[in-house]
Amino acid sequence: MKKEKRKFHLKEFLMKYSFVIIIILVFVYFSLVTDNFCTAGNIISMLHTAAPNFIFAAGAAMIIVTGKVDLSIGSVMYLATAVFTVLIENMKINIVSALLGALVAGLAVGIVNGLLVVLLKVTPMIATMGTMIAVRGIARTVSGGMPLSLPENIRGLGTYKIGPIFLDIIIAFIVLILMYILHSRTKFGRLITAIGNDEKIAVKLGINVPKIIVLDFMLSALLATISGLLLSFQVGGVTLAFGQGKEFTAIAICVIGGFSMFGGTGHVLKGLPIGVMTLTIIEAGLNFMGVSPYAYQLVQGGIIFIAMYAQSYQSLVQIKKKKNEEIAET
Amino acid sequence: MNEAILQMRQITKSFSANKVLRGIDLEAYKGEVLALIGANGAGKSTMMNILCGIYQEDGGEILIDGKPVKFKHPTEAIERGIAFVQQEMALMPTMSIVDNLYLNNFQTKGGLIDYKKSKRKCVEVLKKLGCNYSPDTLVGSLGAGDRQLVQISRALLSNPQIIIFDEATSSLTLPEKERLFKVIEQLRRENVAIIYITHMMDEIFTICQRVMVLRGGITAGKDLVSNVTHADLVQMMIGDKVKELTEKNSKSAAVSKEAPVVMKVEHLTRKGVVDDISFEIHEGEVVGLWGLMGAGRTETVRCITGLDPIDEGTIYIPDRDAQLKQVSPKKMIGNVAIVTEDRRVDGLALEMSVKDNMTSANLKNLTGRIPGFIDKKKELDVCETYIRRLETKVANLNQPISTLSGGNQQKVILGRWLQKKLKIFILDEPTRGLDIGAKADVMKVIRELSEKGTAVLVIMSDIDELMSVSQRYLVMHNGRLVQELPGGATQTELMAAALQ
Repeated sequence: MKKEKRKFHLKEFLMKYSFVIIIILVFVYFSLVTDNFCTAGNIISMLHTAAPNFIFAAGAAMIIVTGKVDLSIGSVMYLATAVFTVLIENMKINIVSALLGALVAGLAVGIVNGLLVVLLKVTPMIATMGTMIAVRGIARTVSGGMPLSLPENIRGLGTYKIGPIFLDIIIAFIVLILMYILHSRTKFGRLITAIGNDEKIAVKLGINVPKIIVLDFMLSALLATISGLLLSFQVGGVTLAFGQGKEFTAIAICVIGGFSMFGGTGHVLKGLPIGVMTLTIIEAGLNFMGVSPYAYQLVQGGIIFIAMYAQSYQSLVQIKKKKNEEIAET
Repeated sequence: MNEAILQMRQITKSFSANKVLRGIDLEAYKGEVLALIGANGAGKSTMMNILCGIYQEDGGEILIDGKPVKFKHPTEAIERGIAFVQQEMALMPTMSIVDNLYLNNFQTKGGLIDYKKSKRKCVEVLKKLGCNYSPDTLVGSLGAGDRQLVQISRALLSNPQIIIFDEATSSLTLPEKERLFKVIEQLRRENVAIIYITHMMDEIFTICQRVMVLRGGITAGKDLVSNVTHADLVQMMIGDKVKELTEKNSKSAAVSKEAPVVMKVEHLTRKGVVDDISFEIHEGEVVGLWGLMGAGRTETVRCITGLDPIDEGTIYIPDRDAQLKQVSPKKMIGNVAIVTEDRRVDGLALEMSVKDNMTSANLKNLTGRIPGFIDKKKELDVCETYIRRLETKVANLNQPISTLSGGNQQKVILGRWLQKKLKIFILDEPTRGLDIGAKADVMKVIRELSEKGTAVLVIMSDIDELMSVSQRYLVMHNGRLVQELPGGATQTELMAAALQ
C-alpha cells in the first residue's frame, strides 16, 4: 500500500499546487509583457498594497476554520477608522487614546457578532450580514456622512519605511506569524479547528464552545480594525465606501489559500500568502498592462471558481481513496 | 471475592413524564467485564450517561470505592477515573491523532501546547494498544478500527479505573473486533473495571464475566456469565409479557405466496453497512423488518430508496405490464413512499405550511389549466380529503408544520404519500414519539393500505407494535438478513433470531 502512495498523480499534483503554479505563471507572464513588473520596487509596492489584506484575511481565516463566516469585516474596518479619524482630527485627542477608541469600537462589533451567533443562534452568515449593514450605518453617522482625511503626520505612517521595506509589510508579517502560532500551537487554535470539524462533538467533549466562538469573532474584528487603520494610513483618509467588499476579498483569499468553507482545514503560512499574492499580482499586472479595472473583477471571479473546483476535486479524491482502502482491507 | 469498585444504588431518572429508569442497582468489579444488555429503550444508555455525568440522576446514589459521588459535568466523572468509549465516533477527522487525544485536556507550556510531551505520552498509549501510527497522522486517514483505538486511547489517557464501552464493535470488521477484545482482556488483567454494552450475545460469552439485563427501566436479572445460557438472557430481556401478547393476535392472515411480487431486492450490499440482502414483498403484505438497534434496518431501506449509495445489488419492481423490471435505487422514490426515521430531519420542511408539506411530493398532479402552475382549488381539496381521512388535528392549512404535534406531523407525511396511490410503502419508525391515539391511527392506516393491496415494509423498534401489524418478519442482525419468520412467530422467536 505504501508504494501506491508514492505513485505520482499528475492531476492530483496540479490540483494540490494549482495556485502556486498559477502565481508563478502569472508572474512570469506579466514580467515578460510589461516593463518594470519584475523589479524590487514593484514587488515591494505590491506587498505594501497587500499588507492590509494579509491582516483581515488572517482574521477571516480563523473564522472560516470554525466553519463559519464573518461578513462584517469591511464595515468594522470602516467603523474603526472612522472612530479613529474623528477622535484625532475633530476632537484632537492624542494618538494612543484614538487607537484605543478604534480598538474598542472594533471589538464591540466582534462581541456582538459572537453573541448573536452563540446566544441567539443566528446563522453566522445572517448575523454578520446584519452587523455589516448596521455597522456601516453607525460608521457613517460617526463620520457625519462625509469623507474624512487624516492629519499629515499620521498619513506619513502609511508610507513609513524601515530600510527599504514599508512598516505595514512588517506588521502584516508579524501578524501572519502570530496567527500561525495561534492556529497550530495553542489551545485556542486547536479548539477552533475542532469546532470546524464537528461542533456537537466539541460540546460533548466538554469544550466551552460558545466562549471560543465569541473570542474568535473578537479576533476577527481586532484584525479587521488593525487592517482598516493601516489601509487608511496608506490612502490618507476614509471615504464613505471604505472597506466595502473586503469581506468577500477575505473569503476569496481564504478559499484560494485552501481553507475549506466547511471548516477544519487550512494552513495559515502555506495558504494565506498564496491567496493574497494571487489576487494582488493579478490586479497589479492587469494595472500595468493598462487593462480596464473592471476586467480584474471578472478575473477574480474566475479564480474563485478555480479554487472552489480544486477544493471539491481534492475532497472527491480523498473520498475515493478512502473507499478503495476500505475495500482493500476487507 | 473482591469489593465492587462501583455501586449505583436505586437510580431513577425521568425525561418529562417518561420514566426511563425505575430504581436500578448496578455493581462493577475490578478486573471484570460486566455485560450490560437489554432491548432498545431498556435504559442502558441513560444509565451510562448518568455514570459519566452527561445526565444527572433524579434519585439514588453512586458510590466509587465506597464513597458517594455526584457528577454535574462529564469532566468530573473523568477526574474520578471513569472513561466512556462512545458508540459513535467522537473524533475530529481533519486533526492529528495527538490533537484528538488531548482535545479537551491540552498540556500547555508558556501558553503554547507542549507537543513534545503530549506526543511522547500519545505514542506510549498507542503502543499499549498495539498501534504504531505516528501521532501526527490525520485521524481522517484511518480506518474504522484504528479510529476506535484512538477513541480508546483517549479514554486511557486519564488512567481510568472504570471504562464503559458502548456497542464498541458495531462498526468494526472481524479482525478489528478481535484486536479490540484483546485490548479489553488486557485492560481487565490490569484490574480495570469494564462495563460493556452490547447487542451481540456471542460477545458476552466471549469476553464478559458478569451480565446484567435491563428491561423497561428495571433490573431484569444479573448473574455470572458462567451461570446463564443464551436462552436465559433472551427470557430476561423479554420478561413475562410474552404470553399475554402472543394471545391477542388480531392481525389479518398472511398473504398467500401466490400474490404478485411488487418489489424484489437481490444481493443488496453497502460495504460495512448492509450485506447481501435479498427478499421479496407481495401485494397487500405487511412485512416487519425486525432487528435490534444497529442491525442495519434503517440502512437497508435507505439503500433501497437511494438515500444512501449501494455497492452491489439490484431492485426489481413491476412495470406497466406487471413484468418485474430492474430499477436503479435513485428512481425508487417515485415508486415507493418513504417515511423516514427522523421526520424532523428527513421528512418535513418545518417552516413551510401544512398544505405545502402535504402536497410537496405530488405537485405534478396538481397543476391546473395553465401548465406549471398549481391549481389552488385542487390542492385544497386534496389536503382536506387526507386531513379528514387521517383525522389530523390542524387549525389552519397555512400554519407552519412545526406548530403541530409529532403525531399530526406524521399524519401529514403519511397523507403526502397516500395521495400518490403507490404500490409500496416503506415506513421507518412511523410511530416513534407519538401518543397512543396517534399510534393507533398510524396502525389503522397500515392495515387499510394492506387491505387495498399496497405492500408495506415497516420498521418499528417496539416489538409489540410491530407484532400487531406484521404478517411476516424479516430479521436482521449485524447488517445481514438472518431469518424469515411467519406472522405467527412469538416474541421469543423474534428476539432469539435478532440476538443470534
